[in-house]
Amino acid sequence: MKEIVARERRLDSRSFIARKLPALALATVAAFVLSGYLFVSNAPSFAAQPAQEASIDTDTIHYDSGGFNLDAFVAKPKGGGQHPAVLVIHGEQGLDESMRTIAKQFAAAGLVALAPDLTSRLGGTRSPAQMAQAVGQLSLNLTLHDLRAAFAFLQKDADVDPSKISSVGFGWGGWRSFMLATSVPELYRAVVYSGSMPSQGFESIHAPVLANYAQYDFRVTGNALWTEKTMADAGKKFTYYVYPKVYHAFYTEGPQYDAEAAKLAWTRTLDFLQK
Amino acid sequence: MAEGKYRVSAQAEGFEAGTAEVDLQGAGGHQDFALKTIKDTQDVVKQMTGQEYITSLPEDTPQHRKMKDVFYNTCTGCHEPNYILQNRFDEKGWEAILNLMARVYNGGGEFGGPDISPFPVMQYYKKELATYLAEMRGPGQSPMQIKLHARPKGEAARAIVTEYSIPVVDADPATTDNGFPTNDGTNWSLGTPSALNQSRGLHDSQTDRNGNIWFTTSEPNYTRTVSMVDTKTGSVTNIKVPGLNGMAALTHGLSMDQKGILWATVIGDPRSSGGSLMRVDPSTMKYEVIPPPKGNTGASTSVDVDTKGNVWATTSTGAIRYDPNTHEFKEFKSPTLTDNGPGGSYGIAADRMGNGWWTQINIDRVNRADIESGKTQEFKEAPRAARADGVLTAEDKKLYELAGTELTDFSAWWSQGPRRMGADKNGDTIWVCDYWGGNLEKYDIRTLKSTAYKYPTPESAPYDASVDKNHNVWVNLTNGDSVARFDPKTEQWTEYSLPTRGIDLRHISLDERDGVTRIVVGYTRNSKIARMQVRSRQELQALKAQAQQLSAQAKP
Repeated sequence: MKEIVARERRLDSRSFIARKLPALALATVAAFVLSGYLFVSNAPSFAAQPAQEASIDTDTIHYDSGGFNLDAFVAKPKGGGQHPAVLVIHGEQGLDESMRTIAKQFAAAGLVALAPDLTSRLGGTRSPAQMAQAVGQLSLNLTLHDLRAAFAFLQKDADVDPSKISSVGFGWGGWRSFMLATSVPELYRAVVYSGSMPSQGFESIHAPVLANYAQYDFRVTGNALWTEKTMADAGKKFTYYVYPKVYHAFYTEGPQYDAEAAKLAWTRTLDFLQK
Repeated sequence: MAEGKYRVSAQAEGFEAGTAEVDLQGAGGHQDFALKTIKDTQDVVKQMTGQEYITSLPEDTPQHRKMKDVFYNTCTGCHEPNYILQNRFDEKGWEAILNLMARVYNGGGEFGGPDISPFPVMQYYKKELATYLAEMRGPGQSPMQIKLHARPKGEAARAIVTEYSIPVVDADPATTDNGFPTNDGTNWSLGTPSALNQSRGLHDSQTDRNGNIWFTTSEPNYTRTVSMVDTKTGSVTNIKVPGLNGMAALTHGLSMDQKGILWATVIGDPRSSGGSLMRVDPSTMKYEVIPPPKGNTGASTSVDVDTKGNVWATTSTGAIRYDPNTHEFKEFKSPTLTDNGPGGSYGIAADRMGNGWWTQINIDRVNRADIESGKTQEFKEAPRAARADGVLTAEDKKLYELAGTELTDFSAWWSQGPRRMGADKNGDTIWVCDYWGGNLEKYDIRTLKSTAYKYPTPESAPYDASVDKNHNVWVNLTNGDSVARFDPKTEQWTEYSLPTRGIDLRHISLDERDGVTRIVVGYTRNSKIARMQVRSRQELQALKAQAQQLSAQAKP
């Protein structure tokens, strides 16, 4: 078991933080999740990949959401044609460098990635501490509204295949990715990383949903069964994976980053989005 | 008692409260009560304790047994069962409440928002729980068989309890009764009080050398960090340590050292990584906040002082010991470490050999730090037999595994829940309260062997223990609104009911300044502090004789 206590923790100010499981409980939990845990050596990691940057274009753009201009980071594969697209929904740390890196990785994999800065209404990107505070102050409904506007923006992008626009949300953004599925019937796929789920509206979902959960993110991951059952009862597609011995923010650079789990989740996410 | 007008009341379960005013002059006064029987069961139900509610839930079918366990373990860790079960709702109503509660922060009680993850166990069983609760406490006929606790008799009926009403902190005139809770649990027929008007927050209490009672406050406010009740006048003096955003720093644990200095744990203190110690000199009212040095884990819920004057406090990862003479901190980590979640320490006690003991409530462990070797060792409590044993499905087990099995805030069906503890400073024992298991667990500090003593009334939820000069162990029973004494020699229990209902007892301390043992408890939900003393039969007879004599003298 990794020593995590002395590490700096990535805090979600509005939810519970990653926790460590008692050693005795590990064996049983790991047993059933390990069965689906395969190492994928050729998957990209979330660390910067300079070689891939040559194959993509990036820009900071603005899009309209009910009369308000939001900032967004966009990354596109070089070359013409329409591409599948993905909305990258940031977590409690805001649109930081790790989110931009993830957007670039999507572009390198052939998707147009749009990462809105949902704190734009409060002044936009700032220091990490201020960012986390700003995210906590955002209006819940407005963030969903701004994401729907981002989806509409992508639909009009000539480089985007409008039938294949998905969403991927991380932590705080995970719930928003799932929620987007309940209110945007055209959404192609939704991916949740370490995020919560809606409490209702499942009957409105059209997009298949994939969830990547961390074993030590008990409060989030503990809801996997309820979500699976509720989605099944509503006749919807839901797949989840629990990554053993990792914490809430295993997917992104930082103290909880776990390269193996991040790679596997990434591969599964790409496969899911590109089906 | 001094001359004057007194309001006198008599109360018993199943009867309407009797109240009267007595003008006590000269030779005393006399007031008889004839209590009226309550005919409507629903009105009797309102008077019940949490223990009585739980015991009244039927176990006649596997589903009833299962849902009783789910309810007990999921919904009664932060508040008593009577707060919930005094209400009647249909299925939709209970589901609405569960929807809310699944996303409420267990610390402050605020709704966290629809985007936070709900408590997994509550979320998973929500529909089943709503159906079950609507069956038990819904609009229709309930299968509950009301089982009232036996009325106290003998020694259990010889307790004198003095209650001090504490003004609600930062009181809102619109939601309080002149600054006090509108329902403080005094009249049982009003049911278990709500704590949403900020009447909740008073936590640990401790008598100082002058007989005044100090208490900590663990709920957000602008005024109180620690406070003192003048036990002669009832007035309250607050000490505010600046916290975040103009608010008061919050405190939780409280204890007193051999010099009469009070020690509290300041929780969530911005001055340290988690929490600090607070030193208060009651004689000067001066205080000092002492943060552990950088790199040490901060203090959390409980504090105790060993026989050498060292201060022990729980942390999220184990315990710390502070030497007030050298100002040195020493940190001890729990062998099974789970970092600020399942596995955080809750109760603490220092034995007379100078070793520290602490509990990990969510993972059923009791830990001991050997002060000489610096090593810690753990004792894993045996799982309890739950009512639902044999009913657990593979899906149920998977749920608990995904939720961390021993998830913070809730226990699993098999959890003992070692909560808080007390040391016999004149003996060789440590006493641990198993909140869910209903045991008082004895640890011999020399042989390290443990013995469990089951509390005879089930679902009483023993919370904290304190050991008196005669080695008796005093325990507060959260679900019973009562305290109990355990005599280790005879292994007999005596339970003393307190006069108020729905009190959320979370701590117990003793006042033995003059050789008399008095028990002090804070009512977390009701903003009161109680001091209890048990009279001997001889004392009672002498009192009766004195009253008869005065009464005879008063006759013309």
